[in-house]
Amino acid sequence: MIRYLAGRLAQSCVVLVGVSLLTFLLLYVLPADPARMVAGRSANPDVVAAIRRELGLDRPLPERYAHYVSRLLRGDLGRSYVQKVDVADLVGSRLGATAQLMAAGIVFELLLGLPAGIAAAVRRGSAVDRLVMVAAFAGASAPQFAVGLLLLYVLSFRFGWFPLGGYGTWQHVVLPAVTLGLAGGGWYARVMRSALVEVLDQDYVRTGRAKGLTPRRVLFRHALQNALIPVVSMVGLDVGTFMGGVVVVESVFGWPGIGQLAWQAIQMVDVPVILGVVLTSALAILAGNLLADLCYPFLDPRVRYG
Amino acid sequence: MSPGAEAVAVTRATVSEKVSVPRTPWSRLRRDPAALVGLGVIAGVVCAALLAPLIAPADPAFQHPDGLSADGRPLPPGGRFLLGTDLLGRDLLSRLLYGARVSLLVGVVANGAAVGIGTLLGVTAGYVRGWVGVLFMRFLDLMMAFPALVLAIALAAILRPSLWIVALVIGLVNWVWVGRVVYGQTLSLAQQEFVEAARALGAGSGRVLARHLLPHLLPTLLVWGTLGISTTVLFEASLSFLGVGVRPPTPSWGGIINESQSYFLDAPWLVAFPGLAILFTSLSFNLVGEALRDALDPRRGARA
Repeated sequence: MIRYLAGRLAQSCVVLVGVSLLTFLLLYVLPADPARMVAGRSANPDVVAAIRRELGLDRPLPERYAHYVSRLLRGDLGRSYVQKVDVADLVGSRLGATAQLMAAGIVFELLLGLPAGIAAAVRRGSAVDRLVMVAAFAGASAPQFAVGLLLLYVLSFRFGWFPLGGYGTWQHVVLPAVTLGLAGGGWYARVMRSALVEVLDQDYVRTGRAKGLTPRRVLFRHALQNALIPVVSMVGLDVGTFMGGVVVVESVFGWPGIGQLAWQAIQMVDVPVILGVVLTSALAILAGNLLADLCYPFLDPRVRYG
Repeated sequence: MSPGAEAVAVTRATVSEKVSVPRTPWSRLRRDPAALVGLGVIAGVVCAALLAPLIAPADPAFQHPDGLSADGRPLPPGGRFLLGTDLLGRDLLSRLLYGARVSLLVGVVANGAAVGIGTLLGVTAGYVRGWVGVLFMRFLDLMMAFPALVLAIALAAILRPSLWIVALVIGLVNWVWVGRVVYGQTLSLAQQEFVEAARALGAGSGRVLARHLLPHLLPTLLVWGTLGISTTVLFEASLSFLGVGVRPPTPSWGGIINESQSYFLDAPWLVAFPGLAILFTSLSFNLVGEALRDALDPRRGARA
């Protein structure tokens, strides 16, 4: 177990180095000249040259990369071209809102997906099963921005149940979380269904039925406990799938998270902020994947990693 | 009836058309109502894209003088403009029909690029193995650690894209899943006896790959070639919605919603119809792709 953990951590570190290299190269190949962006549009060439020296842009590429990594290790993500503040502070001030949105999204997708998947598995081959499966695909195929806007139109504008975007109370989080979690809900319904179908075919389930347990007891006490493990241990992977949706959903609902930050930065070609968000998300995704991998053997004693 | 006769009867029944498990992939596909509906929708979207100039009631860029109400609002669905008009008085139905071209073209080209890149890298890494395989796996991890949409938005925003660049960018961030599956399959195929036999007969790497491995990968590629379009269509719509996809004069479904975003409370049809077009197109490729996967996998063909 310890060896597995260490190996997995080392692997993540290798990937992190790759991530830093790739973001650095992106920064380098992007057509926007950092010195000119810092100096402003109308700065004279001497000032631009001075800033270029100050930023170390006149140094050879490997040296710049080493410098870049050493700054990253100190938690320094550079300064925003536009807002003239540290990117780390900017990202840090937005992380809470995004984490809140993601947590609510995970709660919603589990509430939606698990019961639907269980219903489909129990009535395998029935109309309920087919309906749930088509609905699951529809959830994955629905464009989030249109879903978000239409939810706003119907539930907020027409019925007045929720605020029209913004951030603050629990009412604000409902619609963004639903929009974000819809696709994931469909995915969990499918995974839950196939996991439970497999378990329901096992001998111990038949034994349970044969010795006269009620179908309800067989399902909830025996089958579900085993079927839920692989499903729930995947929650860590959602960080990755949510990261793209966050940009769209936060832009639709005016949610002040890092997705909105990235979106604003992209429109201003504020490269340090874009890369700061990309790096932060990559870190979060890696942490989520690691969590999923580590959860699995803890939750399921049958799984042993050498 | 003796037990033997019964067995014969059962065998006959199994062989006869009615009760048999359909054997060819096509006949299995034909029995899946969801897949048939999906195929129908895809055929409809393809027709819309191809025949847009013939069937569209108006020029998608024409700003009709009577396309706005007296106080300058877009017209709701019904009447002369079947699906209503947009903020500039343009016919929404015509814009949707032309938008199908962008959606399909980018969706298919982007997914083609993704499948192409994924296959090339996956087959090579799976066949060569060793440190190439290790490097490939780490590279997959790296790509998967990047938020694909954020990366695509950043690339697209900075490159000021044309339709082809949008497709290429989407392909570049979406090949990972194909690459992973192809790599795994090549890895196990390469150790099979028929590959060894081909090599023993003196076939070079290129010949083994092209003549012996690729045919076995075809079902997988066919499934991903269909399933992936569902993702790339959505991806293009998201990029266009965020304003970094296909440029405005060209009508695209995501772009129509982007243009109408500030006005959607007064004109929800400008969000609903393009949204439905995206949903149905993406969903259809999804359903057909999944049905193909079932149909091409003999073990899953007879699932309950």
